[in-house]
Amino acid sequence: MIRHAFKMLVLMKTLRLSVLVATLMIGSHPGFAQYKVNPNIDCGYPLNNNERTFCAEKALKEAEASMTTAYERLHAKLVQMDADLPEHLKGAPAALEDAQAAWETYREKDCTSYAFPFKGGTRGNELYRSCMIVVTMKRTDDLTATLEDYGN
Amino acid sequence: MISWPFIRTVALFFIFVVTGSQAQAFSCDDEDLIFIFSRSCQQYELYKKYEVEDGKLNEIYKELQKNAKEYDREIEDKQNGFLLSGMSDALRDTQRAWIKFRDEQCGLARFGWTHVQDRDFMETKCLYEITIQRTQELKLINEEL
Repeated sequence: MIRHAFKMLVLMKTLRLSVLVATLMIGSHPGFAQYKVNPNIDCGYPLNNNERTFCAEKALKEAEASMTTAYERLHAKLVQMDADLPEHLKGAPAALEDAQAAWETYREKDCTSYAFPFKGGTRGNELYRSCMIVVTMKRTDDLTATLEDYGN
Repeated sequence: MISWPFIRTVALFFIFVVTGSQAQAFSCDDEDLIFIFSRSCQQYELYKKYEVEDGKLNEIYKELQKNAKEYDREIEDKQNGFLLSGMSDALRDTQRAWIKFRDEQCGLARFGWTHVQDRDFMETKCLYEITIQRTQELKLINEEL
């Protein structure tokens, strides 16, 4: 319960942050039409399943965009550092790529097992997406912290 | 006149026997020597702590698997069409994926350091920290089950 409550807390925080962007995007993207959401949707307080799905997918896209930015910044830093190193110490960018690929597999498995008992249903999809958002945000923090350790 | 092979033999004896016996007697608790071997001792102590944490992770994983199997049996017995059994397999797949991620992530932690002692230390530090995190996660999943 604690784990679920924590994930939901972080999710709610993310959803509130995305309310403005979500409102602006409604109707402008063909993919959103299928949800038939209210144009004045408040992702801090979604009113029905369609709005919840819309807001969660929006929050996940935002979380993934932030993570991609953090990953690319760290990768660029490692490429730059690698250039100045002797041959036997090179390889950090490739190691980051391997770690990121392993993390993506782990995230998918972790969130699948998190939502497992409800897999395929509305509840299962909600749990899966909220897990994906929280785990992605955690990865963004880790990548950012690693970059800071290398002195930006 | 003392021959070169004799000098070499004496030198090798000194290196392997005398120095070796001193190294064997060395302890990370020795305050006179800790200064020289500080990095190796830090690594040694941290690795011992990591092994303890890895043991805790294995324990909680075993307990989680036991509870997940029980959960699966209950779902199968009830033949509940809404909830799915197979939690045990899903958790096993997740743990395997995590182990692969742990190894790759902590392999990455070795980079950025010139000396092998520093590289070993940073990898062990990563293993220690990531294992504690995973143990906490498994404990929470276990409580939910």
